[in-house]
Amino acid sequence: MTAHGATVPIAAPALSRSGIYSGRPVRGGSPQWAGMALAANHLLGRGGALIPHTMVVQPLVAAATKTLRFKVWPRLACRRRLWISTYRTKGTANCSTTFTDPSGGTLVYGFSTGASGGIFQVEHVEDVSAPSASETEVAPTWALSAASTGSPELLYVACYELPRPDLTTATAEYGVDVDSLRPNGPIYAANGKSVLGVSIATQQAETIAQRAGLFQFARDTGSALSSTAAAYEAVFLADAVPVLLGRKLYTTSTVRKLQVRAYCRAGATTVGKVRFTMTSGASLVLDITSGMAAAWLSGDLDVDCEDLSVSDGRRSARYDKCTIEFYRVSGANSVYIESISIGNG
Amino acid sequence: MSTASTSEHGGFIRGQAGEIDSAGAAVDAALTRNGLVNNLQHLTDQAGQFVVCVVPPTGEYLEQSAPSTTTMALVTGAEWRFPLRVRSGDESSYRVVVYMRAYISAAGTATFRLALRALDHLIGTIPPDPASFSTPGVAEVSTTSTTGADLTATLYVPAAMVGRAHPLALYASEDGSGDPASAAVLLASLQVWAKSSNGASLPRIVCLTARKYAGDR
Repeated sequence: MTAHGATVPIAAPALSRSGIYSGRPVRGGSPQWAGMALAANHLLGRGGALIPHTMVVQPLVAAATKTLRFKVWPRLACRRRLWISTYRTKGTANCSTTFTDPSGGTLVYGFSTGASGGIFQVEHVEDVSAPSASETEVAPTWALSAASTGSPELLYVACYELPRPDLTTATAEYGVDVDSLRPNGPIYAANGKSVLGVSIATQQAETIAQRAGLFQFARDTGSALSSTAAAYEAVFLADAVPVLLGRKLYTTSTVRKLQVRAYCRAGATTVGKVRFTMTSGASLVLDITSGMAAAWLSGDLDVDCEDLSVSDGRRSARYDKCTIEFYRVSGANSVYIESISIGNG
Repeated sequence: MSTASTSEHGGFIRGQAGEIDSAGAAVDAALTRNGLVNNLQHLTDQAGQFVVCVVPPTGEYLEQSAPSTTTMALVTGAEWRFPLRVRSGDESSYRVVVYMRAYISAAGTATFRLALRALDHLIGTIPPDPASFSTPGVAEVSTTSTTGADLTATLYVPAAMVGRAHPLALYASEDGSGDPASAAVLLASLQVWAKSSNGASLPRIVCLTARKYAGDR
């Protein structure tokens, strides 16, 4: 137990409604108050999935660093992130890879294989140098040492925020001191403590405990997806479309608005469009302007939100699929997509 | 009726918590019950994250190196690790709802075995025999489609296995002492195995998503 006492439990406690009835006083420090503090700390301190495992298929070549860009929606309280890189070997040889996280930390990982197609999942913990709750671009890099005789591929990338053991009770983190809610203790109002602490933490959790990343995709600049098609063409295989499902927030909610970001560019005097179309009917078109240098385009997209009355959470018994397409509207060159990020729902 | 909701209203009640935002404000039963208990329960029910969203670029598939008719073989590269949440109450894991778009390359039946397990300290070990997995962490789904079928399964780690969760994240404690503190993380692994009824036909996956869901109570 720390001096602050804003412990973050691995599971939020089950909260009882018994004893909370009109006409009866709400006792200060009744058992559910401490539980409420723990539940709030759990929501604020456990972390989100910034980058669900995404398939990137990036061949690593000596002396050619791969940089992948992702837009993420982090939580201020989470100061460590778990990065998972999955490599696939090509041929039988030795490889030495270096992963550099967005805060500058590095992990050198070498492997040797006797057969092609070996799979290696490599974990790395990033100490976040500048924790923030703002949407931001992260751009980790992967490199292959010049001495490597093998030629692996980076197959998947994932990034998850790791939980905190405890939070500060400062207003930035909104942790609640559980000790301030001992049974039969007095009710009082102070930041991070007692009833006011629980109230503020609950309000903040509505925003902070969001579904961080639902779909991420990235290529490095040299292998960006390109199009010169005169009509929309699918970014992925015709039948390969991510299924999205947002967090249900309010009692009457049936959709959830997600943030969509696409890192795009266009050749000289060339114009394009990127379109996102959901099975549920919503769509979003982002414009790649003439000769645009690489930049993030942004928009909002409504998707189904979870239905808690069914066993798998799907709404209207459907998979809300997101078809992603792009094309060249005009010009003689190509339009490119390097990254797609969908989240904050 | 099936329900994954533990809250009284099945949704966040707006405005209520904000009424206790200053010293001297009244704390009444409705405010406590709706604005705090209900809201915290609902937010916890909805705290699940997407943990896998794999869509192969053109030219790539999730498939075996060769069709296997008798023994489940791991689909190449089809293992993903992620932190998994623990539910309140029964302390089993959040459910992992897996969606796959899959087919078989020619005539036959493609059968996929989805397996979720809690990881201990031994990271990077050889995947276990698929026959060693048992419910509720394993499910089989199959298709005869040669163009694409939507397949889904719901898996979880039982409470007895959650006990293997190990401290992973180390921090300096917030008490100012500088002493280390650690937060327990349930780290899980999702794997996909496959077999084909036809030795000439490959099971293929063209999209796989996995999301955490509070699940039925």
